[in-house]
Amino acid sequence: MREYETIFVLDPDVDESQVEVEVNRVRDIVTGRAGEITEVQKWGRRKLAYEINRKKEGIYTLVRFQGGPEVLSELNRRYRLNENLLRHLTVLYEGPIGGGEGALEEGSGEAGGAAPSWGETRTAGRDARPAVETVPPASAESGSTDEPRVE
Amino acid sequence: MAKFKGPRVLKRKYCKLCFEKVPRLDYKDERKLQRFITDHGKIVPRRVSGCCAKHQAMLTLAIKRARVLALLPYTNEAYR
Repeated sequence: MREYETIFVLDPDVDESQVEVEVNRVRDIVTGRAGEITEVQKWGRRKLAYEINRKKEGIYTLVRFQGGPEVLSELNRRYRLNENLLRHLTVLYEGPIGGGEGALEEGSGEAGGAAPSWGETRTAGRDARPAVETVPPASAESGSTDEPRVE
Repeated sequence: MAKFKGPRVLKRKYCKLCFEKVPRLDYKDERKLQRFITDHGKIVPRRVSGCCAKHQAMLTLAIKRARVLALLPYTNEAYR
């Protein structure tokens, strides 16, 4: 019995009520095989990062459950057969994500909560080419020291 | 001859993720992950992001999963 996390994305053209239908299908698959549902999150419509089957949006839903291998194989089988599903992904549940206490400044509005602020890593790295003298991480990170805290 | 500057690795850079003691990376959190992809959607290499091996691996896995779910792009349109 392991805990899994599965996300599926539904066709945006489908009626909203269909979400509940799908969730119940998952529910039946799980409970029908001596498993239990831990949590359900409905994310609703989201813009996709890229078009899928010419669609630009999708309806995301997340279900966390405990179950055995038979649950998994049946679930994936059903996913493949479902024509309304655009994408799906099932993984082992990795435990609650406790973000690091964002000690880094430059938190882009993510004060507290679970998401740590990692600062402008992207720009910092790319602007600092190896051939150049060591420069402090991007100017955006005002106040950060150069001393590595962990080394 | 030209003097060899050498690939001067920025030794001072530390793994920001180690610094914050990030235990796990969530593939669902695209806002956090977005900092680690380039403008074109590519995954930022370790020598640039400064991550340690462990975190870079976690990052890569999370980003790739997020891509499958269309939470992150595989590539961004490049106007050439």
